[in-house]
Amino acid sequence: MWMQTVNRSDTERAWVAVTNHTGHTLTTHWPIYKYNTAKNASSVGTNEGGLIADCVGAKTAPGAMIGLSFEDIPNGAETGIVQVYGYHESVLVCKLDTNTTVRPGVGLVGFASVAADAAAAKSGLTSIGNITANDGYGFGVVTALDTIGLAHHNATQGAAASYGDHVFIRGL
Amino acid sequence: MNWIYNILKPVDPSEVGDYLVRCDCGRVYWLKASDKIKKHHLGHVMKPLEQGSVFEFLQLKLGLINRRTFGEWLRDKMEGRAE
Repeated sequence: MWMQTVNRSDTERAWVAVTNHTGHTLTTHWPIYKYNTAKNASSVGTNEGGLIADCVGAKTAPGAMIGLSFEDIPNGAETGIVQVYGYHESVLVCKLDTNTTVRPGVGLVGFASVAADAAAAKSGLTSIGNITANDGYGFGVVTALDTIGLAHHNATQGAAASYGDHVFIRGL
Repeated sequence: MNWIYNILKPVDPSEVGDYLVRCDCGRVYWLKASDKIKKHHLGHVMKPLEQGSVFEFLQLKLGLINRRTFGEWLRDKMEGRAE
């Protein structure tokens, strides 16, 4: 026998549990990646997630993105939730210092971290960068639902002004 | 014996993640379930619960939803995950 117990209007979400052994906290709304071949050696946990600089090798595709962190995931033995599908309230925007405007409906992508590159240590998402800089790999799995403008791109990553509003994740 | 005092304790949905989720392996638990539960279900995809059985409803009301079942505990123990 089946009975309806819970029914919410925004049911179209999906999450996945990951571990964090990156050495730092994975903050809410930050893009989380799976370790790809170039960085597999530093992956020591099960179903481990991390920021792009932790997981993706220099000049390689940032297409290993799982989704956006749903909660602060502390480093160490703790597990945490990453949202992999559906509407998400906010997203960390990459610091570019250029006059870039991301229109609603445009796909967002992360910068593959490259040592001594201007893109190093950039964890957020934006709509440009990897197309020309990193072998032509295209947009990621997150779509902007609101305009992301100059103010977002100029803010320090992690500051309140660096978070864009409303995205849709299609990481499954 | 502390578990006996927790077993009927109501759950605050805002503390457990607001969502009851169904794992793709079939299990129902709160989105922000305990670390023991999440470790057991690492890498599984969770979606908001839309339909549940009467037994799951009773489990929910008894506060058993975010505990490991005996089978999950045994498997975690055998496979060396969190005690």
